[in-house]
Amino acid sequence: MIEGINNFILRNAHVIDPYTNEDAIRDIGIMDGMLTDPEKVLNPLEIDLQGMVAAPGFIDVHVHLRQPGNTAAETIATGTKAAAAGGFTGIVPMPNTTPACDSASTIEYLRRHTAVDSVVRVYPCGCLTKNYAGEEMAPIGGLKNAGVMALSDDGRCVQNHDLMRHIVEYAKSFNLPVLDHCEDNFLKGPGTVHEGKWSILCGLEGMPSATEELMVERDIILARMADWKIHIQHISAKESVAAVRRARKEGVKITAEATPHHIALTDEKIYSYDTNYKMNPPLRTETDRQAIIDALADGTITIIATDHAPHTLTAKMVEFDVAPFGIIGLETAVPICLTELYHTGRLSLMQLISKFTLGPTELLNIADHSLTNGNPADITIFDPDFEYVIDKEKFYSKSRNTPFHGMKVKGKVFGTMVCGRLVFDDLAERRTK
Amino acid sequence: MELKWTRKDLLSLKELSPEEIVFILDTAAEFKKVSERNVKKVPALRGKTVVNFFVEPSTRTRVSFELAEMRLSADVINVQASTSSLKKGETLLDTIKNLEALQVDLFVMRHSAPGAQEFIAQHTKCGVVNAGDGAHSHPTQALLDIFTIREKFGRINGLKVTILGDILHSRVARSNVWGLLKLGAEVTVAGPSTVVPKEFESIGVRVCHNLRDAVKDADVVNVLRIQHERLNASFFPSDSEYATFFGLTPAVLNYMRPGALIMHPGPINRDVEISSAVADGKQSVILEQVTNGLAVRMAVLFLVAGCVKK
Amino acid sequence: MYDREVMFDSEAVNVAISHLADEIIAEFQAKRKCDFALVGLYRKGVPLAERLAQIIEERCGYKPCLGKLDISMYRDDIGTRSALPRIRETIIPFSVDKNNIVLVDDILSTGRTIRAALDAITDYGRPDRIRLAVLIDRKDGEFPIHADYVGIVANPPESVKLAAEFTPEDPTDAIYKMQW
Repeated sequence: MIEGINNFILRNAHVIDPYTNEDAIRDIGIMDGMLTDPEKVLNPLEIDLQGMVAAPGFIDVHVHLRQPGNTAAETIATGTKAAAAGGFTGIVPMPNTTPACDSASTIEYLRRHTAVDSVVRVYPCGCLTKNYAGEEMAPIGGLKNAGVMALSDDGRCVQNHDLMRHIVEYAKSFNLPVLDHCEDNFLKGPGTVHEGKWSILCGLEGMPSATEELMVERDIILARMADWKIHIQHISAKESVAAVRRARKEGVKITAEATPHHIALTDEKIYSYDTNYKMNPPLRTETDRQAIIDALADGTITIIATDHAPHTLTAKMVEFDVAPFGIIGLETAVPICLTELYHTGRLSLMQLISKFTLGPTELLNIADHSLTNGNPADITIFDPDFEYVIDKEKFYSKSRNTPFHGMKVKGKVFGTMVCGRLVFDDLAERRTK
Repeated sequence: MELKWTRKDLLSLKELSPEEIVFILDTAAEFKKVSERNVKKVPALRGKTVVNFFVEPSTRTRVSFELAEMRLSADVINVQASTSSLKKGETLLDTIKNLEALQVDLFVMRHSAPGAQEFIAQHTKCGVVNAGDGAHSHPTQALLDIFTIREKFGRINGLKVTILGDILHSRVARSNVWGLLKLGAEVTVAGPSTVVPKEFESIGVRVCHNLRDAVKDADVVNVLRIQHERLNASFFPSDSEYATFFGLTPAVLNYMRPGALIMHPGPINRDVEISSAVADGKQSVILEQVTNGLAVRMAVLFLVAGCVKK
Repeated sequence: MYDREVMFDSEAVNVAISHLADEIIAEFQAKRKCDFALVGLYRKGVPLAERLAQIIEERCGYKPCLGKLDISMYRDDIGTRSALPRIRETIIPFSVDKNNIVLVDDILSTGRTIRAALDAITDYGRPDRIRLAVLIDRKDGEFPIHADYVGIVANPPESVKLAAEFTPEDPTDAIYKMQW
């Protein structure tokens, strides 16, 4: 990161902007952190982006920063550096920290620390219920005043439908979207993987797709009742996808996100008992994976989010049954999605980019995110054709729990700019002046 | 080129070739003779230290392994989870590494987590014999079951074998399925629909929820123990309902083939999954399974300890 | 790959076997006038023991008991090899207690196989005496083990491996020199 330099001209950038539908090669001017006419930029540093795409800054609406509470696995500093390296200019950290973000004081803690330690924008998220225990509503009004932009009990799901109904109605009055990690606790049981052929062969307890589907349907009903925004996190089952498609057609305010690992992997990977394939919701079958990709293509799923879940080596180096759920994802999201969605011809670059930009800003009510002059200079720069092998030892994240180490991918982030500062800079070779 | 044994672990029958399984059975036949003579011991594992590391408790399997180890002249240490450092929060890997530092040679391990032994085998230079990992695998049990069948019929190929009971939670069932399929048997899994999943059909096994259909043509019926800890999770209403619809009673034997073998891994719940009359009857080989278990385990330990880890 | 060359042909081998049979008969029939059993050690000791039993029966009308012994469980190198061959069937269909046992092997080299065989056979009972009959004695023992009845003494250099073949399981009777 170059300290103190905020003025740039990015030459020959392939600008792809879903907000304006721009898809053209031009120069981008940045002065004092804002996008501006390149002619007007004083003392600029020039970078030649020939062959690279410049898009509005990517936002990941599902990240675990682990601070406060589990800083051995990740901190605000390392997690946001990982986000920057992954091409993200903004993230929504999940509130299941210790203590949980269920009160204004914890949100204030978060904002104080992100102001000092974070290199990207952090959009705070509060809990739905106290200590995300699913029993009593959290002080949603107080959380709103403290600055949250969304609410979630991620990690758990409110099982009491009456309580959830009241939460959704109340959140509506504060204009806060509800992000739900859909799972029915009874159907989930002691499950650790998807219930199917592979769980049966491996002797592992499975969670059927109905675990998720049941609560997705519940959320659709409540969203319709309250006429408010419920966002389905990390959708994984084809039945859930079909439900969301049907509901959106009806006009219900339901949105959904998919993770790169559900886009790229299936449950046959659990055969090795490698805990880097253990996450919740679990990897499911090829039919589920294809349903998710079809839904990304037809707009049923409008967001890709990583559910970046750092865990220390010690925590994951145990028997499969006792290993914690989750894998990191910030630094592999863009290359994996370019490889699995763009290079396979399933999504165009414009469509893919909108999953990281338009989708998230619509959910969170963020304005002025397009690459239009006068807006803050939040830019993601990537080469969609650059081939390389993912090396987890190069990650900025503190953790290493990824299934993608050693994978050959096509597409790489080279620069991330937040408010005119290059918070991730792999463009040294392209400096011209 | 004649097959030679090269494995220093036995984790599951899934990865063995049919020839390797037969190799173990032939070796077990020789070890069975050792227990039948006056001096029931050979010096094969003299000076070697075997750790019976049982995180999930067991008496029968552990005693069988312990005796096998002693008859091979090995030194034996028994470590149980309740007394081990695992209770104090030490990770499984650290516990194993600490034991390895005592210069032991072989781990015989039982654990409730599927894949635990595979995980350990990747991180230790000692050999690992799987004595059961959750619902996944129990290779020595399946080997002794197959040994018993082969002793009686002279072959496995073409035999009709039915495994009866809670298949979903059974490592005995899974290991038997792999071993029997590799040696050419026709396998049926049978029991209540809640615990006998259709997914077994995808690997070439017949799935059946009716007792009569499942056993009437069988050459062998292997009856699994109803594990009471499972009943709490509402897979079927009660012991008596299970016994009524799936219990192997003398009446059921009447419509089976006269020479059919009745097997059970033990311990038996008398008059639940199997009647006393059947368990003690002339078609039952339950006690022979125990005898053969000793021979099979001696063979497995001999082979696995006999090989250097590459 | 081994290069192999005949060291002793069929005629020489048969003369040697005949000589072994005579020595065994001399000790047990003529001198001691008692029963004895032949125990062949795998692999080639087994067909050799069968041949000897046949010749002994032809020559003096006495049919010795015949046993086969695999010493894998008694080896002193367990845990050092990377590939284990199959154990063969041990059959001792007679009582070892108070018996006279003649161990039969094709080639006496280091003596370790015989050491293991002694441990094995004594786990079956307490014999009155044990004798050792070998077709070829290489005289380069690592242990103080000596044969009582020897067909041929031969000591090629250590790098030369010897191998025996016997009918009917092999095409001819012969001893081969094998060199890499």
